[in-house]
Amino acid sequence: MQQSILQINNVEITFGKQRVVEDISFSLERGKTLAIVGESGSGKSVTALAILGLLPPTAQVCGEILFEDLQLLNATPKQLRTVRGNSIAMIFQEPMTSLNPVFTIGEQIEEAVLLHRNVSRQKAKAMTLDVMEEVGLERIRFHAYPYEFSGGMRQRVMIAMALVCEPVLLIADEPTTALDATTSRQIMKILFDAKKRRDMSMLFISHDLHLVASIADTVCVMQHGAIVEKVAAHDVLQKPTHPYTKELIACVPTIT
Amino acid sequence: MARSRAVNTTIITTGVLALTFFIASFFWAISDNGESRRFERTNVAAALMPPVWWHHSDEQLEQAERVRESGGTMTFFGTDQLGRDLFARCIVGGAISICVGIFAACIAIFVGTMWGTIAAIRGGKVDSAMMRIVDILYGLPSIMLVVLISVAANSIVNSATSISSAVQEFVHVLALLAAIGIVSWLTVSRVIRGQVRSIISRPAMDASRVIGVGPIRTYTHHLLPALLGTIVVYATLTVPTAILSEAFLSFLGIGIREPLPSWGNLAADGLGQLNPVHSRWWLLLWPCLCIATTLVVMNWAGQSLRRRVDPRSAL
Repeated sequence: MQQSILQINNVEITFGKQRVVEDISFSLERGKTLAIVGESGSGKSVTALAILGLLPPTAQVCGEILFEDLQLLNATPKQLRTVRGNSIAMIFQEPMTSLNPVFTIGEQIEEAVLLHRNVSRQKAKAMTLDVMEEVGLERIRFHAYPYEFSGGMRQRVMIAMALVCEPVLLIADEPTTALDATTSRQIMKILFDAKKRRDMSMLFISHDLHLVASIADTVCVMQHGAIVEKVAAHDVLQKPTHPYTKELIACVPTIT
Repeated sequence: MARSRAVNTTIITTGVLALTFFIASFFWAISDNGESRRFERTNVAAALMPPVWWHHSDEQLEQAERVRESGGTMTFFGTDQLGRDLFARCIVGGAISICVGIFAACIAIFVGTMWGTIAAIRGGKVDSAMMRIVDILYGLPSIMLVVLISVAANSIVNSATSISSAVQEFVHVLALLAAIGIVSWLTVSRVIRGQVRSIISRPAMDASRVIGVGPIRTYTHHLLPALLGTIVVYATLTVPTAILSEAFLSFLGIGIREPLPSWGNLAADGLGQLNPVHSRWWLLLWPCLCIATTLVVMNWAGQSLRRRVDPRSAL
């Protein structure tokens, strides 16, 4: 039994009177991928944001989120900042708007290094260039601005920003939803190559059960803020038990 | 494109020339001949002389003769009741007016930016309370507030007899600056609040939080660069307003006071000299012309800067 690096116990998230996530628990081991699948509004992204403490102050989170030995829900803002970007990184769904238009992409990737690693500028730049190469961006694009990039390229920048500090856990919130099928495959390949190379854990959030079944180790299916089914990925397509999972499998549009 | 670049070059060249001329004149105007600085130099024999190029009456011709004999010089702008050169006074007055305008605008921009940013970041009840305060202050007549503040400050200073007159003068000017600054930050704070709210709702701000950027660095590295355009534009638009307030107050006699000149009190002087018998129009014309030109130029510069910064309003 491997030690789990992320453990979520009985987490409940409410916005005012409305309960968005109710009583979910799961754990994630080192080097494994856990996928959360569900329709829009089922509480997937909110769960991810809660892990990093990024929910707006109007949200209330109860329960226990344990990362390595740190209680994330009781952590001080300073502790949280050292975790964010350093040992937990996150990739968003919207590569088109998630980059700051005022800075070059090199500066934005470098910022994460300069925040968390006590290194010189030259070293930071070298690390940035290495990670850019890893995700398939040319070194000369260091001084390019986000508007010069396509969606796929921007998502690569986001991945580079996430990977540059060698995180232990990567949260990917629908990283390919805004991209076309070809780009999406390339991005997935980059992500999983990087994951294998670093023995990183990954929390993968998606609405695409078929995609998830091929990449994840465990799949959690969420509906209306609750986990309705938790199965091994290779079983999910063959032996779905919950009716909602069956519906999700069946809902792929086919051209006939 | 080529044409607008040529126009830009012309504008910049003209601007630089005008500025050089102004600075050179300023040093000329405050040059000291051992007795007094030029803008304060009185010569009763040359009192109320019209500009040298203007039609002189017989009396004025005789007076001009006497001035020449006594070694005085004729002036291009004319002289005031004490025979001081109006050109020198306009230049020094302009320097004072513009300085007051710029400093007051700095105060307004600083307070407005802080207020708006804090309101936008805190949000909720704090935001509502802070913006309601702005609304209330908006309802008060701002010039009346300025008058109240500067009169109050002046009376406090005047009652303290131990302070030397130079310090008193300095405190007067400072009170004036503060008073104008305090009433003109309202618009800035509203605009900045709106901008900050829209910037912090961008996904890019979440992304920066995800990589662990702290609140201070978020402000200095992510918020401020995005706000800078707006701040610069509002600064250039606030300066002329502040200059106008200063001129108005000095005109009423509660701003900059004699012996220090400012465009406002020069104009007030000139107005007293306007009468059907002996109309000394030059005393009123020059200060007014100076104010008008400065305000038009600065407003125009601010507007064109705004068009640059905000591409949506560009034509």
